[in-house]
Amino acid sequence: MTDDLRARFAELRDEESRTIPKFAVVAPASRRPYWRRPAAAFAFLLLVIVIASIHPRRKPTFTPDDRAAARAIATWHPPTDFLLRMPSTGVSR
Amino acid sequence: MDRAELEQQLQAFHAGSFGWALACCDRDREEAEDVLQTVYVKVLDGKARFEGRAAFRTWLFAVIRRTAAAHRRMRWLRRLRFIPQNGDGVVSVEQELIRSERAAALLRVLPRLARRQREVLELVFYHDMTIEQAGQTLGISLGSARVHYERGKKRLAALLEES
Repeated sequence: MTDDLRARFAELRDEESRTIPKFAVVAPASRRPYWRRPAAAFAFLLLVIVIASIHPRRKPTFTPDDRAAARAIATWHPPTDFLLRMPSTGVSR
Repeated sequence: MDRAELEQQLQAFHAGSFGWALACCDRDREEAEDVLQTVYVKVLDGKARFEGRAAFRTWLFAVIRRTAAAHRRMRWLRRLRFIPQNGDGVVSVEQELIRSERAAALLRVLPRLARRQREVLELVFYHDMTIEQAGQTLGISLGSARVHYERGKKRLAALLEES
């Protein structure tokens, strides 16, 4: 019984071995080098670092005119400001 | 084991691996190719790692079996969602290509065995593994593998006699 089964399976194996696809056909996608993904991540990180270091971080610079204009804006009061003043202003202080 | 060595090993066992993938995919050639491709990608990308606890072939066959089982589950789920499958209800090309009447008879009765029995018999007779190696591949004890082997052999012989 065992020999008969072994012979039948051997025949099946021989039959099926005629139609085995080539290794290269079954495994083309796997030929992608395994280091490619980490290498891509590393290259991206490097690029970010390089861009960050090259890109000048400019401090805001103000000319004396800018400062004067800023001061003028800060101290400016509208001409109608007195309308907002009420007789009771200052009482509650 | 580095990538080149792994590729060499995979190539060396390619024929046997395809035969085992066919067995795990109920002789569906297209699915067997898909499964094997997934396995090769898994192995070469390091998602399935060979730790050297068993022989390389035993380990590889276990990976093929697990991957085929995952494919089967996916297929079953797709069927539940009424997505038509390529090979549903159609005699596989593989079966049509079998010329030997004895081998064809074997293919006809094999699906009537319990899956475990079928797997043990395929590993022992088709792939010339020992019962112990077959057990390791299937993740079962030697005792269980022996029981499946003996019962499967008797049942298969009876089925072949009937046919």
